[in-house]
Amino acid sequence: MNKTILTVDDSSTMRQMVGITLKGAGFGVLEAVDGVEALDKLRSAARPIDLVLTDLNMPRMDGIELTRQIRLLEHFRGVPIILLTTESSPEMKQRGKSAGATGWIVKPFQPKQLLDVVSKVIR
Amino acid sequence: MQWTRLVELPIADYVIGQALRLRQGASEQRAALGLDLERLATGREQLLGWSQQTEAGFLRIGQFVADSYQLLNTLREAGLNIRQTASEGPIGQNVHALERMAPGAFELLAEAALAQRRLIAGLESTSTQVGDLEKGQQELATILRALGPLATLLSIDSTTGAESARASSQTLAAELTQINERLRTWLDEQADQIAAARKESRDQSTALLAGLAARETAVVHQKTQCMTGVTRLGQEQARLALLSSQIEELVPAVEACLGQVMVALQGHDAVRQRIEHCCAGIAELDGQVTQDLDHPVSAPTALAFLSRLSTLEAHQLSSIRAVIEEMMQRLSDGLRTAVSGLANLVGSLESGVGAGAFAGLTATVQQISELVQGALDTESQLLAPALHRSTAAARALFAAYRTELKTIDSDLALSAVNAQIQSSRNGAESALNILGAHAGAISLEARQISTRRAAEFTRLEDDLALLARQMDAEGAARSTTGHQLLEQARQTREGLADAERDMNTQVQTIAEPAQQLQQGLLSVLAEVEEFGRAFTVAAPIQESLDRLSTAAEHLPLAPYFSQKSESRVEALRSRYSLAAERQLHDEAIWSDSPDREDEPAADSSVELF
Repeated sequence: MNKTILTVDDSSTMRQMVGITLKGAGFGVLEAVDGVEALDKLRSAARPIDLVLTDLNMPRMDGIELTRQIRLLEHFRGVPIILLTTESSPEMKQRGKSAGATGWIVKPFQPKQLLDVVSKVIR
Repeated sequence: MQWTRLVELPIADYVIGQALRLRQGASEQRAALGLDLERLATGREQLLGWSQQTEAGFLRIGQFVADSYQLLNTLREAGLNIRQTASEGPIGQNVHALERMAPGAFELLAEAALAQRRLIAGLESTSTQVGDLEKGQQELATILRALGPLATLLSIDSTTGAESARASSQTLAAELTQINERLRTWLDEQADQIAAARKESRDQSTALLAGLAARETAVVHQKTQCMTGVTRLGQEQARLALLSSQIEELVPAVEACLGQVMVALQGHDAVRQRIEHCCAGIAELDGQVTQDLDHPVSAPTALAFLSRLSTLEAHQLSSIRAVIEEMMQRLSDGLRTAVSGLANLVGSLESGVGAGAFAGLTATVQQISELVQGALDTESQLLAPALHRSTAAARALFAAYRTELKTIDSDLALSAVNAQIQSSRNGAESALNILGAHAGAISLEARQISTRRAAEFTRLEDDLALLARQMDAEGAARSTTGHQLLEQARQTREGLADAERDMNTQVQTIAEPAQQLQQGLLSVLAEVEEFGRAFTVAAPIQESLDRLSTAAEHLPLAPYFSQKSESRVEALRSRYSLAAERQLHDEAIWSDSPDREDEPAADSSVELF
C-alpha cells in the first residue's frame, strides 16, 4: 500500500509543489494550511500517516509548536517530522530538534532532494 | 534697551525669517515626502496585485509541471521500449533473422546454381557419351567393310570350288550378307536415334543454361537489394537507437527544467511572502510617518532610521529582483532548450521512421523467396527429370548397342565355326579355310570391341547412375534447406510486418506525449515570460522607496517625533531589523540555490537529526 504523507504549509504554491513531487513518486498526500488543521487531520485520518512535512512559519500554529503537539499524540509519537523552511540558523534547528523534529530541509530544494530525504526516513 | 531692541529686532527678523524659511522648506519636504508615501502606497497595491496574479500563474505552472512529470515518465518508458524494439525486439529480431536467412538463401542459390551447372554438365556428358556410340558405329562399319570382301571371296569360291564347298560358301556368303545387311540397317537406325538424343540433350542444356544465367543475374541483383535492405534496416535501427538516445538525453534535461520550475515556485513563494510582509510594514510606516509629520516634535534618529529603512528595503527589493530575474532567465533558457529538443524529437517522429525500409525489405525477401522457389522448381521439375531421361536414353542405347554387338559376334563366331567345319570336310586348301580364319578374326575383333565397349558402357552407366543418385541426394538436401529457408522467409516477412506495426505504435506512443510535453513546456515558458513582465510592476515601489530614502535624508530637523512615536518607531525598527536579517539570509540562500548551479544543492541544506 502507498505510504501517506501529510504536508503542512500556509502557501498553496508550496503545498502544490510538494504534492506534485510526492504524488509523482507514488506517495499518498494529505494537505493542511497550518498546525491547527494538521492536528485535526492527524486525529481524524482514516489511514496511518507515515510522515509529516511542515513549514516553520505559519499562522495560528507554527511548525515547531505543531511538532511538539504531534509528539504528545500517542499514535504519532514515532512518526517522522521534517521541517521545510528558509531558516537555517543553528538556534532554529536546535529548537526544531528539541521539539522532536526528525530532520530539516532548507528551502529552496530540488524535488530529488526532497524525495531522497523522504525515502530515507520513511523506509 | 533701544540698542538692544535695535539689535534684537534685526536678529529677531532674521530668526523669524530663518524660521519661516525652515518651515517653508520643511513644508515642501513634507509635501514631497507625502507624495512619495502616496506613490509608495500605490506601488504596494500594485505589488500585492502582481503577487496574486503571479500566484495564479504559478498554480497553472504547477499543474503543467504535474502533467509534465507524467508525460516524462511515459516518454522515458517509450524511449526504453523503442530501444528494446530496435535492438532485441521485433526489429532487432528480424534484422538478426534476415542476417541469418539472407546468407543461407544466397548460399543455397549458389549451391543450386552449381548443382544445376553440374546437372547440365551431366546432360552434356551423356550427350558426349552417346556420341561415343558413333565410335562404336565406326568400328562396326569397319567390320562391315571387312565382311564385304569376305562375301566377294565366298562368291568367287562358290563358282570355282568343289560342289560341297560351293554350297557351303554360298550358305556362308548368304549368312554374312544377312549379317551385313542387318548391321547396316541397325547402324542407320542407331545413327538417327543417337543424333536425336544428342540434339535433345544439347537443346535442353542450352535452354537450362540460359535460364540459369538469367537466374544468377537475378540472384546477384536480389543479393544487392537484400544487403541494401538489411543495411537500411540497420540504419533504421541506428536511427531508432538515436531516437531513444534523444529521449534519454531529453528526459534529464526536461526533468532538470521541471526541477528548476519547482525551485522557481519556491522562489516565488518566498518572494511573495516577503513582499506581503514588506507591504504590511510599509503601510504601517506610512501611517506612522504621516501622523508624526502632522504633529512634528523631535526625533532626528527616527528620520535617520526612516532613511536607512527605505534604503534597505529598496536595496533588498532590487537584489531579490535581480536574483529572481536571473533565475527566470535561466529557467526560460532551460525551457527553450527542452522545447527545442522536443521539437527535434517530434520532427524525427514525423519524418516516418523506417516505413520505406520495411516495405522495400519485405519486397526483397519475397523476391528472394521466389528465387529460391524457382531454383528448387527448376532442379526438381526440369533438370533432374531431364538428366534422368537423358541417362535412361543413353543407357538404353548402350544396352541395345551391346546386344547388337553380341549378336554380331555370335553370328560371326557361328559363321567361323561353320567355315572351319566346311574346310575340314573339303580339304585344307579350300578357300573356306581362309574364310574361316578371316571370319574368326572378325569375330574375335567384334568380341573384343563388344567387350571393350561393354566395359566402357558399364562404367558410363555406373557413372550416370551415380551422378543421378548424387544429384537426387543433393537435390533432396537442397530441397529441405530450401523449404526451411522459404519458411524462414515467410516468418521474416510476417515479422517485418509485425515490426513495422510495432514500431509505428512505439513512435505513436512517443509522438503524443512528446507533443503534449512540448505544448506544456511552451505554456510554462509563456507563464515564465509573463512572470518576468509582471515583475516590472515592482519598479514603482522600488522607485518610491528610493525617493523616500532621499527625501528622508534631506528633511530638515524641523519635523519631530513625539516620545510615543519614538517608541512605535523603535518597535518598527526592531521588526524591520529582524526582517532585514531574514531578507539578507534569504538572499544568501537564493544566491547559493541549486537553481543557480544546475545541480541539487549540497546536503548541507538537508539535515536529519
